[in-house]
This record gives sequence, structure tokens and C-alpha cells, in this order.
Amino acid sequence: MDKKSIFLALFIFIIIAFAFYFSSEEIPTMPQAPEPAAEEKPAAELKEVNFYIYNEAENQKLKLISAEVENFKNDDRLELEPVEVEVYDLQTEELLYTLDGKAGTYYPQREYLEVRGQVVVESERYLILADELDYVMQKDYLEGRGNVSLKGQDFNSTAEFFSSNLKLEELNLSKKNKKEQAVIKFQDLQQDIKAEESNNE
Amino acid sequence: ERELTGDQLDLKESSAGQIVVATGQVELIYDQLRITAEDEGIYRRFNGEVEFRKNVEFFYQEYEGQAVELTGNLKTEILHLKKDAQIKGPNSYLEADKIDFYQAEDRIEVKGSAYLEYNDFWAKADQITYYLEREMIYLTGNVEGERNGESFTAQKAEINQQTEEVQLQGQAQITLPKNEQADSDVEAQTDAN
Repeated sequence: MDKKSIFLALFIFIIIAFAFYFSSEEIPTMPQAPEPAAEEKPAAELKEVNFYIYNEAENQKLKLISAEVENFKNDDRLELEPVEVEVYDLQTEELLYTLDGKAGTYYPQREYLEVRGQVVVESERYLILADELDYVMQKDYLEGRGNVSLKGQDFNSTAEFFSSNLKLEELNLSKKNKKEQAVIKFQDLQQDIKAEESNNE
Repeated sequence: ERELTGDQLDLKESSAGQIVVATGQVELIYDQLRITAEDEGIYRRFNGEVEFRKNVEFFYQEYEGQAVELTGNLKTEILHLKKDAQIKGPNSYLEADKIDFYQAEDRIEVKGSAYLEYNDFWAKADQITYYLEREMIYLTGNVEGERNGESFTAQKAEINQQTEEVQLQGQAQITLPKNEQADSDVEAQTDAN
């Protein structure tokens, strides 16, 4: 083998070495898939349950009703499916409104209730529908999101988002990041006719 | 059709009744009336009162108007346009500090640096009252204006749009256009010779 061919062989060897080195760099070594955390088992599984939650700050008492409740103690979490809530005035025991959904999660320590799936809030004044709702007792605040529809005696409105205090007194609807605006449609006619009739008497 | 839209709506239940506050690109449609505003619109449903702020425009039948602010009452059909108020009709234009539009009475009250344009006619006055149905316009206080080159001043002026007559009252003065003045001077001289 003359000098030339040795040199050529050496050169080819170096090229291969480099190629091998760089290609091994690119191949990301797949991180080891983490061991799936052992699915936490509920401390208790209960059927046909109802229990009360007292919200002294807002002078309210909530009765939670559910066909199936799973209590995850370590997580401070109760899973309810479905979930029905009756909100009462603590003093007068008057039913203020009801709140239903396909499923709910209650966090006792945080006094926080999540309601998910076909949420319906019904009071004497309003019927509110939304995809999901969060009920925050410590902040006297509730918030609904997704396909919000709100019906009153003589109006109905639609929005992407709504919020209110826990007495459902002041409602705020907004388009959030959707294109369509919040809309309220009035059916004043009944009111006007009544007003006119009373004027004519 | 009666609806209110906005980026955000606040529904409040006061002891008197429901109050709706819309903010952000507001629009109210109320039968033949349409009002838009950039900032805010408030509608007190129990008494019909409304308030709109910033770049307010309204559209009613063949009239449209704009102002910085608009207040009024949907039940009594009265609108008050405030600050840089304007109303455009099929053949007239009004501008003032404040314009009150009485829809039910087909009457417009224009106050504060009131200005009117109508066909070939313009005029300024302290106050202008426009009866749309009767097609009568009344100007009062420091009236000045011009029509086909003839300028005039008076304390009062009355315009009948149907007959196209303009009546001036109180220190009324008409100044003919330059060329007409020259002709009338020549005529005067030839009469004299």
C-alpha cells in the first residue's frame, strides 16, 4: 500500500469517526418514562350522600347532594358525581339558589368547589347555564365559563364568561377572549303594557 | 328588538329595579333607535334612563347624531347630546354645544353656539328650535347667516321650509351680495339723471 492510499484510508476513517460522533449527539436519549404514581385510592367511597358546608362569612349554608362521593383525604379533596348544591340563607333558612353539574370537586381546606359539565344555576330571579363553574367561599365569588346563558324574567343574555358574588346580586358578563360580545336582549313589552295599563286606570 | 351589547355587561339589581352597565364597544338597539359608544353605556330599565360616553353616535329614522356624551330616556323618547353635538337630517345639519332631541314630538332644541345648515342656507344663533314634522325652524338670539350670497343679522329668524320663506325680526339687517349691490347703485344713479 503506497503512502497515498494509506493517507486516503486514514482520511476516510476520520470522516466516519466525526460523522458517528455528531450523529450520536443529535439522537436525544429518551428520558426514562417516570414510574406511574400509584393511583391514589379514595379513603372512602360513599353512595347517595348529602352533607352541609357552613359559610358563616357569607351567612350561607350549602347542602351538597351526590349519588357517588369519593373522599381523597391526603389530597383534601372530595369527588362528587353528579353534584347538586342547595344554597340557603343561614338565618332565614330560605333557599337562595341551586347549583347542579355533571361532576364536582370540593376542597374542604380551601373552601373551594369546582362544578364541571352542564352547570345549571337557578334562583328566583335567574337561570344561568355554563360549561363549568368555580365557587370560592373565602372570596365571596363565583365564576362561570363557556357558553354562558343567563335568563331573567324579562331578558336573556349570552357571554363567554360570568362572575358574581355568592348572593348572585351583581352579575358581570363578558366576552373574555371570544370575538362575540356579551349581549343582553330585553323583553320590555310586558313591562310597558303593564305600565301603560296602570297609567290608564 | 331591544338589546344591549358590550365587551362586558354588569347586571345590578337595585331596590328600584335592574340596571345594566355595558363597557367596551357598546351598542344599544331599542326599536327604531340605535346608539353606539366607545366606552360605556348605562341602561336603567325601571325608568328608561340611559347614559352613554365617548364617541357616542345615534341613528333614528333618517336622522343620525353624534356627541361626546348622550343622556336621555327611552320611555319618554328624549335624547340629550352634550359636547360637540351634531345631528344630520335628510337635508339639514345642526351643530351645537348641546342638542336635545324630542323624538315623540319631532322637535329638536339646539343650544350654545347653535349652527344650522339647510340647502343653500346657513345660520348661527344662541338657540335654534326645529319642528321636523311642521318643517319650521326658529332661531333666537344673535342670529346671523347667509342665503344665496345674501347675509343677514337679526334678533330672531323664522324659516318655513315648505314655502322657503325666511322672516327676520329685531334689528334685522340684510346685506346683498357685492355684484347685486353694484347693480342697485347703477340703477340708483340712472334714476337720478
